[in-house]
Amino acid sequence: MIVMKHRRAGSCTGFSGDSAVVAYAELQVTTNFSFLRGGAHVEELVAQAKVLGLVALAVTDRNTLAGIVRAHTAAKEVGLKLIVGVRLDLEDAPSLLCFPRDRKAYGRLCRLLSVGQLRAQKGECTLFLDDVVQHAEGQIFVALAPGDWDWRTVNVAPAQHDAPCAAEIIPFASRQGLHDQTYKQPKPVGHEPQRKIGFEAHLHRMKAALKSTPIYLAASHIYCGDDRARIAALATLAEYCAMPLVAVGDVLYHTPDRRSLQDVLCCIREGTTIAEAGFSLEANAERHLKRAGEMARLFKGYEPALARTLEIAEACRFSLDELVYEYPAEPTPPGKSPQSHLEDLTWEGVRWRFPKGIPDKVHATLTRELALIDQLHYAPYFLTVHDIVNFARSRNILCQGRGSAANSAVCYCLGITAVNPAEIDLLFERFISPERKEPPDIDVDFEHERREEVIQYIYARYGRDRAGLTATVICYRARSAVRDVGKAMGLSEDTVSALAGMVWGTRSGGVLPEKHVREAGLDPADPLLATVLELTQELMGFPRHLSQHVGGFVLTRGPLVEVVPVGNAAMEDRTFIEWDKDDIAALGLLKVDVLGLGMLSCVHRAFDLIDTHYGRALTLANVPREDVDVYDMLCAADSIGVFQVESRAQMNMLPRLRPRTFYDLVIEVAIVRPGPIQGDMVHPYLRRRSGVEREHYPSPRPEHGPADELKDILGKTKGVPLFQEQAMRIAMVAARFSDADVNELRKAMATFRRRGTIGRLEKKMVSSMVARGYSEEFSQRCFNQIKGFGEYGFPESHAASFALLVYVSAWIKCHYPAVFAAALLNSQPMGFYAPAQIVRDAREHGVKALSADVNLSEWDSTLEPSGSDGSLALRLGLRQIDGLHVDEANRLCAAGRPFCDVHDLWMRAGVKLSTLEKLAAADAFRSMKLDRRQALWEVKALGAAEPLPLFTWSETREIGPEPNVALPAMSLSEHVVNDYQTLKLSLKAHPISFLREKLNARGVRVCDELRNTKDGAFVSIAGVVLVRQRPGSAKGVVFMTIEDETGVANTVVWPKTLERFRKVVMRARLIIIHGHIQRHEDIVHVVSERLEDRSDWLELLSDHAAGMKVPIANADEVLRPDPGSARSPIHTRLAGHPCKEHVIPKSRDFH
Amino acid sequence: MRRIVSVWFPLWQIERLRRAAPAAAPDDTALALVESGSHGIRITAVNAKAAADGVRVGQALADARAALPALASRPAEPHCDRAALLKLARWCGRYGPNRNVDGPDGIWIDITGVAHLYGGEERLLEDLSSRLSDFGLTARVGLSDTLGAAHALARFAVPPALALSGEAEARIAPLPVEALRLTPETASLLKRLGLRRIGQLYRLPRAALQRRFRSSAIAEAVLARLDQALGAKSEPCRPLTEPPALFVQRSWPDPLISAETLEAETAQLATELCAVLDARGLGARRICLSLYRADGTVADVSTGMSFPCREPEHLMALLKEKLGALDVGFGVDVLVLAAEHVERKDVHQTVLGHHLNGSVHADPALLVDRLTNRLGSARVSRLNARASHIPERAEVRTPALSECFRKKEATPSRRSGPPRPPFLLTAPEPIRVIADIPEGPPARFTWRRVDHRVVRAQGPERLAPEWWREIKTEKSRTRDYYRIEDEGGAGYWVFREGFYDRDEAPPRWFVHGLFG
Repeated sequence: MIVMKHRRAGSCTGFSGDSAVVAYAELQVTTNFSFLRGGAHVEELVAQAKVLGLVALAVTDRNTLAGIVRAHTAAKEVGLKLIVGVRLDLEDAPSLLCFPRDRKAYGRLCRLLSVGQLRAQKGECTLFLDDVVQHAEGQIFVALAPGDWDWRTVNVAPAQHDAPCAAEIIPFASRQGLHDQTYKQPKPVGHEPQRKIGFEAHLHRMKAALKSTPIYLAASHIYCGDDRARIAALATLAEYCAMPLVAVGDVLYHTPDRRSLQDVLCCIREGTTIAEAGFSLEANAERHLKRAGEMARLFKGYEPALARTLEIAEACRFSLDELVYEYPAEPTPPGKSPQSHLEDLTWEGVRWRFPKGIPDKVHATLTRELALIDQLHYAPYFLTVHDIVNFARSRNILCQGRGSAANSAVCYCLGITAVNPAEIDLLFERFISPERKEPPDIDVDFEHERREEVIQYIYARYGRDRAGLTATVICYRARSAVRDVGKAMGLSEDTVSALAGMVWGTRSGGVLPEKHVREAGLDPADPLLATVLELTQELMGFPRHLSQHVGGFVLTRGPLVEVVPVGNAAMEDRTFIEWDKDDIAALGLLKVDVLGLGMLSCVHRAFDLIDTHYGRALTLANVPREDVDVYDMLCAADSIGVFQVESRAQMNMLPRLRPRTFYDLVIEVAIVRPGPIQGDMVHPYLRRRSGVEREHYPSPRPEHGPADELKDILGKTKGVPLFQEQAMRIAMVAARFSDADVNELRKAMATFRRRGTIGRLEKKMVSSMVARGYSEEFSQRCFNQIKGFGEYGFPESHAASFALLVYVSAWIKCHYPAVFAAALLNSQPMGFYAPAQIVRDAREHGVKALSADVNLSEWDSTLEPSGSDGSLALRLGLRQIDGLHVDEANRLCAAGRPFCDVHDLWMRAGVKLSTLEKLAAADAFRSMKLDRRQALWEVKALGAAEPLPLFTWSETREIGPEPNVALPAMSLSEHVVNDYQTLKLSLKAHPISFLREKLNARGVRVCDELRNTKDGAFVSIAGVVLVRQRPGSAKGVVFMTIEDETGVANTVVWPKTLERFRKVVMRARLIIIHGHIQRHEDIVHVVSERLEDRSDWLELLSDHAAGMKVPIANADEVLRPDPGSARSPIHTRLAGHPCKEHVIPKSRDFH
Repeated sequence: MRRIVSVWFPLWQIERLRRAAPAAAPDDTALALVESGSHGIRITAVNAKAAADGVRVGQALADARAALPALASRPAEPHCDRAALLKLARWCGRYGPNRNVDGPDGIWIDITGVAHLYGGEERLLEDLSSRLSDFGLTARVGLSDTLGAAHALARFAVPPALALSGEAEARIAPLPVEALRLTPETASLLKRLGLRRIGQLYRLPRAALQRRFRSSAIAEAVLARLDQALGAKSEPCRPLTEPPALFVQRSWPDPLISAETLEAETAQLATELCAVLDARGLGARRICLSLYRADGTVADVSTGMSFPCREPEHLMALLKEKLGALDVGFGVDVLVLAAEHVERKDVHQTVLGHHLNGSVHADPALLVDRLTNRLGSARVSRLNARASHIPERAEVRTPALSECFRKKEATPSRRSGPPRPPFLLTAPEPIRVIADIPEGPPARFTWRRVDHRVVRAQGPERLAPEWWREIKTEKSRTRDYYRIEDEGGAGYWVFREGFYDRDEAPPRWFVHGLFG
């Protein structure tokens, strides 16, 4: 028993009581990590508990510890004792609160939850009392009465502690007591479905099973009318079962005003509306945190129950700080220390990387880095990453590291990265500093198609109990929040979609602007709508479910399941932990990011093709550097397909930035990002680079420090902060932020939307810089940039790793355009452009493109000699054909070509008729002198039945010869249309070329002419819409890229024009644009003034289309993120089918 | 040679809706009818305004909205569409007894040998078109020797789509192959082969065509459809039959005029109908008496019962009340009494209340029916439980004949908490109270000028207002309910509205209910 530290409450008739008199620790708190149950963030609950002066707060989510790290961090910040806990919902017994008393008990709790989660489906946890018993040592349990438990069924003696509420007024409860009944003996219950036994019986059973483990019985006062009677019943039960009664608040939110949101959450959970939810809703707003005094009043007469909360709080001494991390031992051979092994590997690597001798500078860097690694004991970390990379190399999987520690000389020598430290001057110390006690950060990108091999290797090497993927907490964002709240509030499906539809680009995170609400035909002044939007605002940022992180692995030396619960992922063969990367970082656990990158697959394919056809063995590290031709090409914005710099924004930047060295590419990659754009750093940098503006370093007033304090930080980027860490360093140097401040800033950057602490930091940084003599405008810009980085930060080392891929891919494109095109096509889907543009670009670079053919093509696009000079032409692969299955194509390729006719192919390759039809539709029988129509006719004649096995190899045909049927010839324009439908591109002609006459009549120019058109000239152009973009950084502006038979043109649609031509802009596939030319150096845009949707003209391309009623079917559109690119825009793409009547694939739209 | 008219209503769903509820389908706003499926909400029909704005059938509503935010939408009602089309087909019986619906938006009528009544086929089509147009329907008609050809002409030919006997082959030759009622896949395949018009199929060797388009479902095969259109192969056309509900009917050569005769005949019919129902173990939930007047119009009297009924007296009692008000015009020559909706009815004993056949029946349902029939369904209601924590909202009045009546098992119940009083005051009555603050139960209270001393109390049960119902109105206050008992043993349910410590306005006390 713990000595009571407080005096027993005397008279408690006061209003809220006096917290000085009594003390209380809240033991039952449901946060919003019990998805759709808790109505408050962990941080809010912790802060409120502190304000109310509670002694301690336990977080007890349902079968999960997902929110515990955040609670731990928040509690540490405000100085509140956090009790680590969980609410165990069991299959065969009432729920239990479980509080581990020490590290070992915590480990057992994690193991228990893992057992439950691994036996259930993703997101669920199936536990039985037996499991709890097996992991009970060291825990404290609190039994909870079920919600539907009827206390009247208990035989309650008039408890002596039951003090009357007021003089002479006796509660009704006392009438219920019946002394003479005996309790039923509890019966043992196995894992079979729960038999109907009463709560008391369960309590006896639990008490018996848990033996000496302390178990309490919880009582709460939630204003349901008969609370005191129920508490009295529980007190009696507690005495009878020898489970001391303990008071709990059964808290769902921090303050009463969260009731509405809690009600809405309940509706979302139950899939009902607020008007229909009825009794699933709570009757009142009492499930908030309460002061000790108030609890004392509610539990008057049960003071020991309050005191026991302190007893439990005192006994639970476990803190997450005790989770000391230990690196896995595997990568270190026995008998060697990790540091010495790392040094050996590094020097070994030096001989490999620098066969001609190591430069002095690199040698010095290596020595310094190794010393620092030794000092911080990071060697095992580097060894772990090296181990994974080594595996990838042994399997010939291309990979590259990035992240703060990745661009060190050590990593170069270990082969983790290919950025030569001699080429780029990155200070390792800047990323890993002894003051910042954070593990280093290395992410490794692998070929996206082969990443799973690496993941399974990690599982195999470290075991599933020691390796797990981290989680990503999927939170409500504006769109999902408004949808769910709207539905719960009973808005019609229409209104809900209208509201949700308005949220274009949810980055702003703010409330929906009134204008948008009105635009959707809704009245923003409507109180119901206002309430919906208010609740939406509250709901945004609430966790909705856990999902596996794309590739963040946590590895431990001991069992991972004793550090954090591990559960099943939705994907087969994947398990993931309950914590996300911020949680991992907060606890200092080791994480290795194993990511997939489409460009690496592409580069690998390109290297293989170059090796095969040109006999040149290339690696990321030995591609010739600083090639003038490559930079010339990039300066001309000739970058379709090149990693990272192929987007419209990057293509605009290239001619302005004019990269000439590798470091310029590093800047190029980093500059077109939300950070520098929001910080308005782009234009100053360009002006200084072109010499228009003097390089200038803002400085503090002399009394505050050296004038050139920023030159050290910003010297490399001409005085303009472009990289994430530059902005952080400015905060340290210019705003004199302490380490703690910087840490807070870094954390706020990652999570500022969730916590909203950024405002305070903003004030602090700006005022501090201004006080030291910097201009307010500069200070504000620096801070804005930090805010921008918060969303999509790019530190210098990341940029450097990416820049290498930019260079390598540009080099391949420059010197081996056919190889590059083939590799890109074979790595689809990835990047920004569709196959049509890739092939077109290759042809413009002098590559001869040949169509896919059953006799000549492989599955992948290939290179084949063509023409007299033996130069290599690009032969499109069968993979280009929509809907063709890879197994079928391989069967065809393996069957011994050439085939003499369709029947021969069918017989010998044994492919399905549907495959043949797809091949015919794609016009792949030209080598048999059959066009698509004739080929289809032939295929259709093969009959519905598959070839009989007996006749498979027989020479005789099952069907005799048939009369020649002359089908109507297909026009070229229709062939083109069909090509687009089945291959998404046509080598025969561009669809617009058939409409040129019509366009000429309207004075429409070709896109190619724009290059030589004067600034300000009025032009009309027409084309197929390739890309539509509405970037978040350019408010309300839509960028469109269109293409005709001569080239592409970029157009801008300003919001005013957009309002007028919204329908056209959003829907047109073929568009005519009238507007003025806007030239900026080499960049030409057409500023749209009038737009015409001429999609109907595309139908004219089909034979005899005019005058006929052609039904227009709609293709299904699928949403999927682009797995091949570093950013993950959601774009819509055509999941076409050869039979669909679409003429041109839908544009790629980026919001 | 048969002559078949095919009618196509290209805007059926919209126009049907407009006819049923003009306000629901305004012409001046873009409207789409939608259906939610596995791929989200899809558009199934659009009005002219929406079509002009580029909204297309089959599009996702979200996509259409992105381009046209003002697009209004309503859920499609395929069942209503179908039912209305059936009704219209029935009406078409005036042009020929053999007729039926054709797909979701068409009708066929066999007018063989009928046209002369209208002064020729052209006049018949004119008559049909103008009547349909008077109904507010856009209709395209085709007439040919076969259903296939007529169908094609109605939908694809330039009006007037009348093919004289034997002309069908020539008339449909220039039409697209879709006109042959092929599956979309088959039509698409033909077009991919360059065979876009029906005429192109005539020239092809039949064997070649057959090898490529033999289909397991013969109706889908190209040649079968072609032959049907050209009359080379007969197509079974199933004409509309009357609905299979139970009905009894009487007709007289001379129209009945007198109300008494009519009533007597109706009673006869009711007895017959009940006999039929009894024989099948059924009871009627809804009956309809149709009076076919001599001038060719029909008057209907229908009535519903809250229970399956086969007592002729009861049916008559219900019908009689409405029969008197009917105008029989020039007299009635056919009477049909139909049981439109029937349910199983097992025999059970009834007692109490209602005088029937000299015995006393107890079934209050009979009384409810009579009252509802007499006073109107809005005036006879019953109490149903409603899932609400707020006591006065926990019950709801619904019309006695409404569906809720039958769903007793769905009554919601509270999860926990003390019992509610059996008697609730219509409106809470204010009381004066002496109580502990902040949350003590009353120690004494004065209600209706009588003082009471409280000896037992339980509570509070805290009930917060239903905030979602007060978004647009004034907010009410949270209540704390107490169950109390005075010296005399009487139980009260009182509440305090508001808090002593939180609100500005002082709390008020009320008595809301009484315990026995």
